[in-house]
Amino acid sequence: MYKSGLEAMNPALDDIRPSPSNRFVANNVGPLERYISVFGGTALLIRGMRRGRLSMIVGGGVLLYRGATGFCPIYGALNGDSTHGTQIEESITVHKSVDEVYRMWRRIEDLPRFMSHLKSVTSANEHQSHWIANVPPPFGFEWDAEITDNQENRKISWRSLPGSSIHHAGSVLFHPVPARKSTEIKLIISCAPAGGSIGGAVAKLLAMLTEQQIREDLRAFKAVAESGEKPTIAGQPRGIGRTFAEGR
Amino acid sequence: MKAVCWNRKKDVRVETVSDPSILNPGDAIIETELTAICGSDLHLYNGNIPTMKPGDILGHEFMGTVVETGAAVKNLQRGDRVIVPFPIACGNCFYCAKEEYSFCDNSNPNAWMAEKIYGQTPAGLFGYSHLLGGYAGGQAQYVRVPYADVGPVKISPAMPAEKALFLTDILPTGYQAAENCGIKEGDIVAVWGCGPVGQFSIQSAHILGAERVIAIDRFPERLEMARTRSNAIALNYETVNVDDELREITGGRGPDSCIDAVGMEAHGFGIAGWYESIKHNLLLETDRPTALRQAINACRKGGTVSIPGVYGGFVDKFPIGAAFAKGLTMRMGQTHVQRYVRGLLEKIEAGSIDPSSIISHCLPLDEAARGYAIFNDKEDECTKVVLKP
Repeated sequence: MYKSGLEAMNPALDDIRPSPSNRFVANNVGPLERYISVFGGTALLIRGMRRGRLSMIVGGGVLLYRGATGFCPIYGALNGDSTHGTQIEESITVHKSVDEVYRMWRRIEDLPRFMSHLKSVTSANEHQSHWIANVPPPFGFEWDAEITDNQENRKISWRSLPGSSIHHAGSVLFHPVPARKSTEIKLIISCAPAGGSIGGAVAKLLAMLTEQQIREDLRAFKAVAESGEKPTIAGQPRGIGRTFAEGR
Repeated sequence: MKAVCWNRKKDVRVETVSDPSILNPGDAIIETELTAICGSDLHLYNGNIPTMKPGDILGHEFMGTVVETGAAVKNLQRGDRVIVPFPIACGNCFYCAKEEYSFCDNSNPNAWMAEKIYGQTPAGLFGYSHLLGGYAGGQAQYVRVPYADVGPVKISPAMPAEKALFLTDILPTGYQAAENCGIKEGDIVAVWGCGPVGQFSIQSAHILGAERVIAIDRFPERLEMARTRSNAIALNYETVNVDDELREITGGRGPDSCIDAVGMEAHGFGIAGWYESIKHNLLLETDRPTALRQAINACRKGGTVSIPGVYGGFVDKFPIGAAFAKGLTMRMGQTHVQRYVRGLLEKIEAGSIDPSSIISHCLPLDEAARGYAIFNDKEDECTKVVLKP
């Protein structure tokens, strides 16, 4: 199997990956993929019914189902049926030196600036910190964590302390790409209820931890690291949108 | 303020909306002095670009005066007169560092949308669908300009707005299209589409050393402009066989480079034209590549096909066999406007290009809806509409 620079650099990566059966699969189809599934599925279904082809009807039905519900039974089957927790890996390349990027991540208090599932992180000392999840009220949720591995310009790992009601662990790996004046970052986050059952607050947190969300978090980190700001259109003017207003 | 808002296919209206404000420290607010309707805005007008929402403010060609700057802006001050390139670029990512501004990694807040359709996201653009950022556009009295230290270029108060405005898009777009051809001494270049980008492609091809430029269109006034102002050999595809004519003019070789300055809404002609419009209406394809097909088939072996015309989705019957058999090079994409502005500004100041000559209509912003309609229907010999707020 091909290994990227990051993987080759860190053969122990598998140690922090939970088994595939730990994946959380309530909603495993992206929004655009859902649109495409609905349109493609409908077309396939109609065509299948016209021609009396069972395979097209079944295929169209599956597409329509995953589009309508956001859950793909095929993805689900591939990932196993256990819903105990989630584990996500995402990579991004930042046009900054490994030194600058590492220093930004080392300021653990800054993590909530980029990671939308965190409200705040407060350092108690060099190794220990207090984390508060960004879950909507009335749920409140906090835990203590420690840095388990810190290799300058290579890797930072952390995990929640024993006794927390959540198992929250993460690693960020850094791989310099001098030819591109860039640094590849791989973020691995795993999160699971410590007791085994999914309580309200933990369930909320897990639902926020999707691959797409972590990807957006990394994108926000990259934008701030490179350009000093996150792009936005929130708050800009727009017309009233008469097509809908007049339709009602 | 007043702004031109998209409501649905062929329905744009001037509405009163709230004024824009600084949303990020790198932003500036520009008071628009002059703005224009671009041929690519007609793709939005005709509902051919997905992810437009009713109420979106249109426009990506605008210039004016800085009225407010964000805390991080260093290069601009209140009162500066600027033109604003249509691609929004952060100036610091891998692509911006290579002056490939329209590939900017950071400027599209809806990057996920573009990634799903295109694999990677290009830069955000002013007023050009939510897929490309959803930014409010420049056909308005005021515009918020992100990364104000990177895009806007100052121009002197003495420079007429009509001459400077097209530095925002169509002049650099025509120039990049010609530059992408890699023109060598003695080359013959054929240009499909004699709208503003086509005209500037023809003029740029001459500047870059083309021996002859052939212009292809069907509107007599545009062909006349190509002949008299842009010094091209003009072919009307409704009255002559373009393939035969191109072969004749090039001694049987075919043009060294072919430029498709038409894009996704080519009108086509005869059976092929009907076929494309039926498929498009049945939603079987999003883009109608009749000009592009002809360009690929006409191009000489080892030649270059350069595509400044906008494509957004999928095409059918793409002649990959001809492109492969002839080993063609194809170059395309949105223009890296910021890369070209200063050089082209010097050419305008020196008088070697006068971009204002393509303007056929100057209307008040209030009449934008009429401007869109006549530009779209090519009524009244319309070649370019500028709007004054």
